[in-house]
Amino acid sequence: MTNRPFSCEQFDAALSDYLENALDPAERTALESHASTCDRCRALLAELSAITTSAAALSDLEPSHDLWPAIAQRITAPVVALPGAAARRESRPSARPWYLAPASLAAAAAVLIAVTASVTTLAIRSAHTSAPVGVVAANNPASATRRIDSQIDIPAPAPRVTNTSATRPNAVPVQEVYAREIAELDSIARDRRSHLDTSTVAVIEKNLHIIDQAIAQSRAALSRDPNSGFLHHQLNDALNQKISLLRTVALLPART
Amino acid sequence: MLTATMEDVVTTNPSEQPNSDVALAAAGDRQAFERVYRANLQRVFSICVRMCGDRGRAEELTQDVFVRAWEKLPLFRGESAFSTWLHRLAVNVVLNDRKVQGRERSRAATGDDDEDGEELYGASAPPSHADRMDLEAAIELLPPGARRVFVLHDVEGYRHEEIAEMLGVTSGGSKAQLHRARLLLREALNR
Repeated sequence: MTNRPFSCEQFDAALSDYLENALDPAERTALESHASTCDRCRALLAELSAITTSAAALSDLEPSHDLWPAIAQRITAPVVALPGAAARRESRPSARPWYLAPASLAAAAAVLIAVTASVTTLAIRSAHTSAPVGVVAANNPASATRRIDSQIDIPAPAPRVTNTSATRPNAVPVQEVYAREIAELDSIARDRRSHLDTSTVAVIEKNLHIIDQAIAQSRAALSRDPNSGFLHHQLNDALNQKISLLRTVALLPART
Repeated sequence: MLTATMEDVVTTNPSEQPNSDVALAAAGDRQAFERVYRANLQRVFSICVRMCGDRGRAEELTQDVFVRAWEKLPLFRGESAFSTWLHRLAVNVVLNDRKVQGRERSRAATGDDDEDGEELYGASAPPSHADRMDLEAAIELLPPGARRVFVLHDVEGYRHEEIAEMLGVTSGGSKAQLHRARLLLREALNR
């Protein structure tokens, strides 16, 4: 590159690199020499330099209102509290929140299964038999289950996730646990639907469809972002809603 | 309680967000995360508003940034300073929003998005202030493509290579947009 001062055209072409310190020393000298003798180019250089300097020193801006309430609402998701979770949190090896750890999720689902299935079975029995459920179940849970099945034609329940497996949560993947529970309740609910009013069934079907859509959307989003705690919560929320709705259906009284 | 593992995920830097807040927030402590939010709000909002040029939309994007940060915090391992990590997250959120909203956005209204026209400030209303426009207002009126490059380079300090990667353009394209943005700003400020 020549050491002679630039023309205005050369100055314009090199100005951007000059402002970013991307010119070699000879080019810088040539550009500065031209600016020292050309009013137009000197003004341009001074003004663009001032803009870059001012831009780097701009102050931070403030939103018109506090955004925290909306953010807090969005990040608040129901969490299944488990006894002894604090102890597990102390010893867990990763930075993932304890409630998102696969073991905790599986344990939560296992507890949910045990509680939901048991409550459902006993509640159905309570609703459709005159036997004192608590006494029968306490005295002989196995026979109680068989009586329920024979009296109201409930399909035999799938194998339960027991407390033993709850203490070994990795043995049952959480989504499998949910799927098994939903399949069992769905089977019961389908049987109950034949005893319900058609308008009630229509409402049930509509709500199940909405929940299924939410489940599908959450799963699709998780396939793209499998580490999102928010999406895991959303999926589990939707699955819990489906379980809750199916359980309600199973307990609805027959049409009169 | 803060575990040794959680303390390890953040760097020690006195000018940064207190390590304990970041670590506690990463462990699911919402109160700690609120402190993280308050300490970084203005910085994140500034990036959003300057990048997108719309204060209302910037407030929505700022919310998105912090929700995303809450989700991603457990993955933050401290390879960079927390503020750098959050800053880059904010830029990504704004750029992703641009991709999602791009088709509906001002193409019909202004005719310029990434492919900015040659007309100064596109078809948006030219500055007509009796007083000289300040730099902040002038940036807001830049065409979107030029504004993004100017904010990322001259305000936020990213290099052209980084900007090119973020925006999916060439480094030369980034340089050209930057120079154009500076010339447009000069014109606006001299009106």
